[in-house]
Amino acid sequence: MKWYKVQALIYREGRIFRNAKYRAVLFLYFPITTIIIWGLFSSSVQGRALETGMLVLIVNVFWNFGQLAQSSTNMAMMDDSFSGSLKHIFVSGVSSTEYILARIITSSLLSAVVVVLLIGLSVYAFQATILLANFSLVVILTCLTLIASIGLSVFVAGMILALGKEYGFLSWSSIQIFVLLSAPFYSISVFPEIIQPVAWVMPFTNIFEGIRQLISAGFVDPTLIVNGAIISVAYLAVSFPFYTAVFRHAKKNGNLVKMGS
Amino acid sequence: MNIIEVTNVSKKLKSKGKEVFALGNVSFNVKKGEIFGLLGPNGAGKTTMVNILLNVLVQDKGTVSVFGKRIGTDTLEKMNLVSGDIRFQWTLSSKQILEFYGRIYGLTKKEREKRISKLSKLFEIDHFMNRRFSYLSTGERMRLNFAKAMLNKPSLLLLDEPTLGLDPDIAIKVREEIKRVNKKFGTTILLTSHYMNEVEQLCDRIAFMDNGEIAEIGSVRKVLTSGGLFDMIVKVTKVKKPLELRARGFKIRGKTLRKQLKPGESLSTNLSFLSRNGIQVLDVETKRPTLEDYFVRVARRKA
Repeated sequence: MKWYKVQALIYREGRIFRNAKYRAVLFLYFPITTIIIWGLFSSSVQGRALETGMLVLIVNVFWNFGQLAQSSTNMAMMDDSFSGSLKHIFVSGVSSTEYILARIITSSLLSAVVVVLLIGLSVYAFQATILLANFSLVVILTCLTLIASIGLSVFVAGMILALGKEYGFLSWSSIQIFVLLSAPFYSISVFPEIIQPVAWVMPFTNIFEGIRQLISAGFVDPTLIVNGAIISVAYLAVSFPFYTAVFRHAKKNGNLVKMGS
Repeated sequence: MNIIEVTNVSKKLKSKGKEVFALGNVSFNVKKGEIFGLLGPNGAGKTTMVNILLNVLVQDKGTVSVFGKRIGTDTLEKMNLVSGDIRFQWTLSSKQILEFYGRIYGLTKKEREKRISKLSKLFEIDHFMNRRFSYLSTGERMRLNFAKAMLNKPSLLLLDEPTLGLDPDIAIKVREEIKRVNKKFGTTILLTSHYMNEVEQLCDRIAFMDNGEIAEIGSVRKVLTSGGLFDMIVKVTKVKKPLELRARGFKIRGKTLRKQLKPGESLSTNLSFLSRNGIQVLDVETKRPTLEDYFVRVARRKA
């Protein structure tokens, strides 16, 4: 892997972002409006169900952060595909790893800015002071969310390469099923028994469980953090070989050419 | 020295659920410094072959080597592509596109500035360096494409239908550019095209592809003469002994006789034959076959 190629791709992404400022609106608009909606909900139920309101608000902060970290990686790839420039990047000697790594770095930087904004908004506009009071825990949960989302983004990149350009919608929609099964606002026990083991290995389950515990009990069981870390790293560890194998296969079945031009 | 060596390459691709034969036992090589043409009708397998050389498609069978090595990122760094359907990221300006590729090829800031400035003058793109790609005309995009392709001073340049859809005046300029790049930098060029005149003008050797196979390979002259050296067209006062004429290979249309001369067959022998049979010749014309004729011949064979 050549680092200057990764830097070149990051430079390019930066220029694209600067030239197309509407992208900033795209990335900020949905997360911020979502947090405002649930922040207002949280404020309105303050007297009756403060805990529920906070739970919905804070889970949404992490959900939006995770979604942004994953989808911006995959949407950048789809953007290259639809603009027809993907093939020309790969024929310039950029490897599949250099390409995805650059995307991950850019998305992580972008999402980091957004999550700071979302946390700031929640704390200062909607009194989610619990986030500041447990700042180190919040940082840990944020890192776990980021690692899990990166793992998902690499996995989704592989899926799109395997299935073809027509499945580009996975770049923004795929996270929904993982969040659903990660039990964001409810306990895992609401799932039928057969689903529960699946739910426990979902990327965000331990993170959401940790948030619920933090809000209700004021602490997070370290086991949840450890399990969350293991699962997030496992996603990342499995997704890279999957992506690399699919990329190799896409060169054989012509999918890379179809994706790229 | 061979820059490209392709040996018995076959490839099948899936299209609408069915396996389609894209390349079958294709073999050729391209020597250092030559302009080699891959010629053929649409769907002949030219772009499939180029994609294999660019390592975005892998063959099912056979071997491909570039610079004596298997194709990988290190060989791709010494190659470049100019494609008729080139599309860069539409929001980037010409300068940003060149800057990006300069970085990809590992050029230092100083090298990038120097090379971009030189190439922008060479390809006359300096007046639209700050214009976004989406606002460039087809001709401007092609010139930018060439400038980008020369950034890494490639030893091998792949030109995939470089004049596709261009206005004739721009196509002429592009052809001049190809010649200039080949002469000035000694760049080996593989050109795919289905424009016969383009290939005739530019290429030292060609391979004519048809249905995923190489139908003919060699110098332009060799391919042209594979079915006959040239046509002789004779206008006569009166056609006599038509059966003998047809047996000799003449086609008769009114008072015009036409024959395709095979290699080694002379014009004078045929004129003597006519004279011996009492046919008075008014006018003789010879017509050298073009690649267009060859193309038509292959198409007829297919039909």
